[in-house]
Amino acid sequence: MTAVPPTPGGEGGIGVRRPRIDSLEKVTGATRYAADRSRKGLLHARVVPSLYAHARIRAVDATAALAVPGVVAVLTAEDLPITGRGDMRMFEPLARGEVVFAGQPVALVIAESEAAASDAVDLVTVDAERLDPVLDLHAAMDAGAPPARIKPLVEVEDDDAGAAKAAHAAVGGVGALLEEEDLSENVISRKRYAQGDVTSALAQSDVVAEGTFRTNWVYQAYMEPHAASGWLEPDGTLVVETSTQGTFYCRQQLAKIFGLPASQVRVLGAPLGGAFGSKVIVVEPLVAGAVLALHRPVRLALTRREDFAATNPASASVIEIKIGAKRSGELVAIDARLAFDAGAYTEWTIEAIAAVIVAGPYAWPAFDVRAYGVRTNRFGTGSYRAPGAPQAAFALESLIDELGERLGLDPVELRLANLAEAGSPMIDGEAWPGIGARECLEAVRAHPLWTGRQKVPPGEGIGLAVGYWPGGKEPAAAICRLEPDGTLAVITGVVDMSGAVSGFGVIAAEAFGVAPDQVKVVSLDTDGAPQSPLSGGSVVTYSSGRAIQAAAADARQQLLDFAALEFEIAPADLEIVDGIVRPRGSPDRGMSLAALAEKLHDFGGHHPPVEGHGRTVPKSLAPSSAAHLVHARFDHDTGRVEILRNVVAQDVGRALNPALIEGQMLGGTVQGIGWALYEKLIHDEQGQLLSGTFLDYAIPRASSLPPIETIIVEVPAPDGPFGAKGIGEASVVAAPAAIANAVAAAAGVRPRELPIQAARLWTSSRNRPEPM
Amino acid sequence: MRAFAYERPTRLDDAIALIDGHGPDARPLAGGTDLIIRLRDGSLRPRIVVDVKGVAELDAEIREEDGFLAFGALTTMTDIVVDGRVGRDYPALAEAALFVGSVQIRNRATLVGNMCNASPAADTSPALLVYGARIVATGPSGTRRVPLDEFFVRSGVTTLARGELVQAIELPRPTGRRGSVHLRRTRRRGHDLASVTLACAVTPDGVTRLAYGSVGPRPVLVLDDTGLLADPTAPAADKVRRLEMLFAGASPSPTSMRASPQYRLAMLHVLGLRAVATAIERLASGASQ
Repeated sequence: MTAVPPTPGGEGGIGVRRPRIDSLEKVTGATRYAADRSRKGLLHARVVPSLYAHARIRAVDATAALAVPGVVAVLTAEDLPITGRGDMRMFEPLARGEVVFAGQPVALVIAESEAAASDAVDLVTVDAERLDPVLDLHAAMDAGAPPARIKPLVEVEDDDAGAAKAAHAAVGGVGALLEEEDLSENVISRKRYAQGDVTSALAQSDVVAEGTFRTNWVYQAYMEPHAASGWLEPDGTLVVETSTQGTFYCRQQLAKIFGLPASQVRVLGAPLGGAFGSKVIVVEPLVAGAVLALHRPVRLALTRREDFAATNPASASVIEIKIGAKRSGELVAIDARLAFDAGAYTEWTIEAIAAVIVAGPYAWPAFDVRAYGVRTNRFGTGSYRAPGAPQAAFALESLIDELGERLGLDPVELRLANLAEAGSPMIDGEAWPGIGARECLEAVRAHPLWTGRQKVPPGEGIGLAVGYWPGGKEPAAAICRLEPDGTLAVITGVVDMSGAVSGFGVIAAEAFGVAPDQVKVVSLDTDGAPQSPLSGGSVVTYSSGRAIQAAAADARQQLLDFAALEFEIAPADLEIVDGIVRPRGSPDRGMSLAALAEKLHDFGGHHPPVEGHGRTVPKSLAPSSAAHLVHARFDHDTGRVEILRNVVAQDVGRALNPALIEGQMLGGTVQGIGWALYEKLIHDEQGQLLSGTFLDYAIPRASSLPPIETIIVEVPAPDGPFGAKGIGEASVVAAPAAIANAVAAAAGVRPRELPIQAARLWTSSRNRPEPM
Repeated sequence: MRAFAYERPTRLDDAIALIDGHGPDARPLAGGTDLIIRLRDGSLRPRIVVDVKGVAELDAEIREEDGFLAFGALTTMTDIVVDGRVGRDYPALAEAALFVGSVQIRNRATLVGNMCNASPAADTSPALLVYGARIVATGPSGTRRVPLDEFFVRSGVTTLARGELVQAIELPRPTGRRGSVHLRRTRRRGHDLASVTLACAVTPDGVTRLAYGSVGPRPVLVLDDTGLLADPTAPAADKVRRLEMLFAGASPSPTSMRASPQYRLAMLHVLGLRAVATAIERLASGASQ
C-alpha cells in the first residue's frame, strides 16, 4: 500500500459547492447512454418472458417467430455457451427446464430491428406445465412447504453466491451457532448473532416493546432501464458495453459464466442513468450469450415493463422484534427474528446485513438475532440503496420510540444514552468505529422543529429516527498523470453512479495542490483502467478516493522532483500556488505547471513523465449515520398522511463537495418517503406482477414532496480521503422509521407495515380502543 | 407495437368514412395520451389509426354558443385550465383538468378523448356530469346530441354508434349562481389513477348534484332535490344518511389493488360531505357561479 502523505494546502477547494462535472451534458440531453449508442450491424434482442411464476418447460416453439421478416434467431438456454455453474441468476440468464418467476426470460428473440423482435416475441410458444408457486414468505419456511425450485441449479452451495453477498457491505462476521430448526429447503440462508441470556434479560426488564413489522417488495425505479450491447473484436475479445455499476465486477462474472479468461473479456461502462444497486449483472449475460452464439453485435435494452418484471428489486421482509429496557431507559436486550423473501435467486439476499443493522447503533448487553433468507417464486432480489437497512431501522426505531413513550423519556435522550461506544463490539463482533450518530442526533435535537414539537396542532406530529450504513472497504487503484498543458488527468475504473467521480476531481486537486478545474477525471474500461471496485455499498469515495489521493500525492512529488532539477533546489523547498511551482519565499521565481509540463512532454526529453499511482485498501470501516426529523399531518377521515417537512442530518466525514452531498441526502430522503408511503410491488395469488408500470407503482414525485432540509455533520474518518466517508446510503436508512414515528405522533397509532397506506391507517385509527 | 395503417384525413366526412368503414379495427387519434400507451403495450391492436388532428371541422376552440360553452374535439386539458370562462363558470372542471396527468400530458390530452375512453376513473367526467354536459356526435347519418349521463356504458364502452366521432362537448351556461367543486382521493398527489373522484354543484334552489367516479364500472350522477344537502344548517347526521341513499348504487371493484371496496366507499362518503360543504361555501361567498 502506498503511504498517503499529509494534506497539503487547500488549493483543491474541498468543501466548496460545485455542480457535478457531467451535469451540463446530462440536463441538455447530450449524454449517450447504453441504449443510445449505435453500432454497425447491431442486432436487437427482446426477451420472451415466462407467463407463469413456477412451471416446468416442456418445449419452446419458435417456428412462427422465425418467420417474421428481420428475425435472425430465437435463442433458448441450450443455445447460450454457458460453462459456469452456480445458484445465481447470472448462470441462468434464460430458464433451463424450470421457470421460477413470472417474467423470467425463457427465450431471446434476435432481430434486425427492435420492432421485429417485439412482434416475434408474441409468436414464440412456450409449452409449460404449471406448478404451484411458492409466494408466502412464512409458509415457504415450513418444513412441509413445496420447494420454490424443484431442480437445483447446483447440487452444492456455491462460493460465488457468498462473494456476491460480501460485495454489499463489510459486516457479517461468523455469527453464533444456529439452532436446530425444522425448516424447508426454501430457507437458503440463516444467520444468528447471540450473546447473554435474552429470555431472562427481557423478563427482568421494566418495560418491553415488541412488534411484527412487514415491508414489501420495492423497485429501485432508476430513470434508465437496464441496457447493454456486446460484440466480438477481431482478436476474439468479447466486449460488453453496459449500464453497470461495476465494470471489473461484470468482467469477472462474465468470464466465469462463459468460461473465458478475464483478459479476453472487456467491459465498457456507459453513463449510468440511475442504478441504486440494481445494475449488477442482469442483462449482460443475455447479451454476451447471444454475441457468443451468433458472432454478431447484439443489444438488449429492457422496456420499463420488462425492467419491472424481470430485474432485481428489494425484497419483502417480516421482522419480529422484542426489546427490553430498565426504567432509567437503559437498553438491556433485543430478541429479533428476521425473514427476508429472497425471491427466485438468492445471491443478493440481505438477511445477514439486516441482522446486524436491526440492532441499530446501540449497545445491547444481551441479544439474540436470527435471520433467514427464503426462496420464493418472485423475481430474485437485488440491492437497493442500503439493502436491508430501511426495513431493519423501521422495526427497531419504531420500538425505541414506543419505549421512550412508555417510559416517559425524551426520544433523543433515550437514543443518545444507549449509543454504542467506539471500540466496543457490534453484534457481529466487529469493533464499532466512530459513527457520528451522536452528532446527528444532537443536530436534529437543536432544530426548531424538534424544540417546538409540543406546539403542533392536533392531527400533526413530529417524529425522529436515526440509522447508519456500515459502508465497505475495497481494494482500489488509481492513476494521476500530468498532461502536456499542465492539467491533471485522473484515471479510474469507477463507474459514476452518484457524482463520486466529481468528488474524485476535488480529492486529486487537493492532494496535488491545484484548483479542481485543472483536473479531468477519466473513467476507463476494464482494458485501460486501474483496478476499481464496483459502485455500491457506499464504497468508492472511501476506497477509490483514497487511491486517487495517493496517486495525486505521488504525482505531486514527481513533479516537484522534476521542478527541483529545473530550479536547482531541494524539492522540499518548492510549493505549488495558483498553478505556479515556485521556491518557498520567492513568489517571482515561479514556473507554471504548463511550462513544466511542456518540458516533460518534449520529444527527446530526458525526464520520466509525471504519472502517479495509488493503490490502497482501507484498514477500517467508516459507517455514515443519519438522523431524520419529520413533521407529519394525519387526516383522520381519510387516513391520509401528509409530510409537511423533513430534516435530515448526516455525518459525511468530510464534505468534499457539499452540493453533491446534499443531493445524495435529498435523494435518500425522497426514496425513504417512497418506502414509507407509496412503494409496493404487488403480485397476485399466482405470482403475477400487478403493479408493473409507473401508473400502478407509485413513487414520490416533485409535486408530492415536502420541503427537505439538510444538515451536514462532519466526523472525519481516519482512513478516508481527507476524512471523507462513503455517504450514498445512510440518508435512506432511518427515513421511513422517522416518518412512521411522526405518523404515530400525529395519528396515535403505530404503523407496522411499509408502505404506510391510508386505508390501513384509517382502519387501525378507528379500531384503537382509546386515543393515545 | 404491431404495424397499422395511419390516415390523417382533412375533412370530417372522410374521417367518418374511415371510422365507419373499419368499425372496431379503427381507432381515432387526437391527444394520443391513452392510445399510444395502449398501442405500445399491445392491449389495443387496431388495423388503422385515424388521426383527426388535421380535420378542418374539428378544433381546439372553447367557444360561446347560444346557451352553451362548447369544447372542440381537440381542446386539451391545458386549454381548459387556462380558460377564464371555465374557471369562472365551471370551476370543478378546471380543478379536475388540473389533476390530469402531468404538464406534458395535459398539453396533449383532450377533454373529448377523456370522455371517449370512458374510464370510470376519468378525472373530468364527474365535473362534466354535474354541469349537465352533452356530447355532440357526428356520424354517417348526421349529428346528434347525447346527454353525457347517457353516453357512458362501462369502462371503455360508450353509446357512440359505428362511424360516429365526437365533435364537441357542450356545457349549458349557468342560469344563476352556483357553488361547485371537484375532489379526489388518491394514494399520492399528482400523476395517478384516481381511487375516488367526485364533483358537486349546489344551486340556490336547493338542488345538489353529485357525480362520482372510480367506484363502479362508469361515473354516476345523482341528485338531491330535497334541499337537505344544500342546507348549510341541516345536521351532519342527516346529510350522512342522505348521502348513503344517494350513493347506494356505488359498486367499487372488489379486486382493485389501489384500494379496498370498503375504503373506497368510505372515502366516497367523506369526499361527498366535504364537497357539499365546499360547494355551499362557494355558493355563499359568490366566488363562483
